[in-house]
Amino acid sequence: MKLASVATAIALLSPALLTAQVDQRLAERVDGPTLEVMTVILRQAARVGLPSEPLIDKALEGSSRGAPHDMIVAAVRRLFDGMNTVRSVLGPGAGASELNAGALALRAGADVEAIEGLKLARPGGDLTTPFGVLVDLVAIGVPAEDAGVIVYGLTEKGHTDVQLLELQRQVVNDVINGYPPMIAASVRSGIPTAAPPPFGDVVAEGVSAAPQP
Amino acid sequence: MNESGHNGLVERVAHELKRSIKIDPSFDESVMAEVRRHGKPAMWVRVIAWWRRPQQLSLSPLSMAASAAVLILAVAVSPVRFGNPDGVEPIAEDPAARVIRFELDAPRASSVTLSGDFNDWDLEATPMTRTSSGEWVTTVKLVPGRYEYTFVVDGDKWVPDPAAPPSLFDDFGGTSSTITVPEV
Repeated sequence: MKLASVATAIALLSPALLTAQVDQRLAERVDGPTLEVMTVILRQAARVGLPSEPLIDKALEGSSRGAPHDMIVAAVRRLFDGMNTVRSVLGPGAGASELNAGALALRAGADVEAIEGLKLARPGGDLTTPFGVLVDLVAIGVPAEDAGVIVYGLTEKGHTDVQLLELQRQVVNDVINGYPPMIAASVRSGIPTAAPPPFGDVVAEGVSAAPQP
Repeated sequence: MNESGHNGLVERVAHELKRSIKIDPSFDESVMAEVRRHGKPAMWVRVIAWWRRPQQLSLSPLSMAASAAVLILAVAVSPVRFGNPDGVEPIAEDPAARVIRFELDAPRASSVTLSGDFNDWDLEATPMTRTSSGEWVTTVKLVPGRYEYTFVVDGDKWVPDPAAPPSLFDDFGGTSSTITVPEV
């Protein structure tokens, strides 16, 4: 009975403690209305078991950039929803960095099936880097679906984080040198993408002249 | 033994227990004299004995809840903070942390700082040092993960790292760069 009472008291008061701890960091950097909304969001995060740090970081980034209240709240809520979706796929053991990167991957156009595929491709392993490489490939112009296929294929073959990042670096260099992103990514990875090369043989010849991985 | 025999035994035992015992009147005095001779144990002995002896604390559930509330509030209002005051030091203490060098070629800048999610996007937490060639450099220890950051030139110009992938999304009207520190 006493144990139950203590557990109940702590459960009721833990969100208050969490809020009090983040208040000090956020209170110095965000305005009152933003702080109020952040308090609610962080309570929700604590309740569903999501990490608070990425959410706080997002709010602090907005504050440092002088973003208005609405923009900060929208960005934080978007991140919350993304992390929640990724966590539902990866499970409660997923780390903050992994959830953050997974949320970005979803936003970049990867679907839930792609997240599930990566989880199966690297069972029990951290997926922060695969998610990050997927996002970065999309950022340089590789279609999200193709980026997902490439990263899944390499991860499934057992490529390490270092190898994935090296591939990304090579593709970026190829793109800087004028090669189409999708072709560069497909050739460098050795994984054919879903869509046929849009530029025909001329581009393929150009890519074949690039340094091989 | 039958019931009557059992009752007889009980009666004899009861009778024996009730029998008054004559004790020499000097017995009490001799016992007390012995006690006085040993005296009280020293205070420190009694304190140690108290700490070593199991103690029982009784609290009502309401008192326990109130105690928990007071404890949590005390921690909440305490100036002492556990964990991550500025987002950098705990990372530096992690054995998995790696030293990452950031550099920006900005010979005309009068100041450059590094701001990112690894230092709570603090504009002043990580100043960069100018080299003789006009390059601004700093190092940060980061654990494996993916980070976003930007350079802040002369206090108000946000400049992405030209040597790093840009962040795909721009939530706040500026471009950041990304760095992924891999698991090794």
